[in-house]
Amino acid sequence: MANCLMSAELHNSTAQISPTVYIADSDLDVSKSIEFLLATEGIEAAVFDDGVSLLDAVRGCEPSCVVLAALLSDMSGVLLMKRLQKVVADLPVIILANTSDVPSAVDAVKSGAWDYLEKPFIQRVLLDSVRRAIN
Amino acid sequence: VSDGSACVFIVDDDEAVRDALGFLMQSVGLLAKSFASADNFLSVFDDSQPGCLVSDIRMPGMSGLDLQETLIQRGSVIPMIFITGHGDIPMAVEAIKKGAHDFLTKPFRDQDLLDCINSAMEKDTRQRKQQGQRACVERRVACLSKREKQVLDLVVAGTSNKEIANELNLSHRTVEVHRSHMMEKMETRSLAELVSLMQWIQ
Repeated sequence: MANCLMSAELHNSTAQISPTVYIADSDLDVSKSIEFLLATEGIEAAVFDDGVSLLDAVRGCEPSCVVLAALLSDMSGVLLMKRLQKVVADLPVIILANTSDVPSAVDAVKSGAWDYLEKPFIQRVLLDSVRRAIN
Repeated sequence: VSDGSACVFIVDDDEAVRDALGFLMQSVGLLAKSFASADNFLSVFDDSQPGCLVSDIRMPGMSGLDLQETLIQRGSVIPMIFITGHGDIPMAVEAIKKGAHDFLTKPFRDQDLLDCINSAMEKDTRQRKQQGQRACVERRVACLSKREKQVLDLVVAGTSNKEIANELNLSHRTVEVHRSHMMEKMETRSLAELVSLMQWIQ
């Protein structure tokens, strides 16, 4: 997190900041594994415990993509997505859901989600989705 | 086939489903036409007919998603509702991202489908109204003389009359006359109105 803020300040707004992915999941193991997965592809990531802390961070440094659990400790992923997109219009948001519920997936995408994946997700599928989102 | 009234196009390979859906539409007074395959539907579909599409996802031959792709490529914006017996999230996500109006999983309540169809019909009406308005503005542009069109483009780009006169090698007075005719033909009273109209049709 500190890294991201620092690089944002250093580059100011004139230079292209390398793509950063923000991750929020109440299960830290999941967040860490995604962070690691992205790191292997040279994509920087920052992990957050809950929606509010991710929302705070976005006001300081805009991510290129966000990966959210459908249910966080303080709010739903879709609600957080709507709040994030008020700050950063068109921010790609990938929702990770515990249930294979088609209506929830449809609602999320209609509300502006970039993608909606079921847990356990296939690493390559998530990676592809993040790559397409940040390109 | 096109008589101008809104129609629910049903595409499903299962005859029992087609009959049930057709009966449901009839019961609420909606005009419906059923097709046993996407190909059958495509061979008669005329985009000028208002309505919406209700299609099964899994069908022998062309699938519902293939049908969506074909309609998109044809430039059709008919609202599409997909029905699937298998709760397949990647498929639903793809269909919605490509602009499907909705994606229902079986079993669903009749009312859910009817609500969906109603909102799809409203969307179709809205889209057609916008298309009509756009076509109307385009017709006005087409009625402009070559000079008036040049003046329109320059005015919209924020060029002053004096600059337009220089650019087109005309007198200031002539530019004023072209501009006034152009505004009249475009049926706009202010520069702001003209600019927003032109931005809207782009």
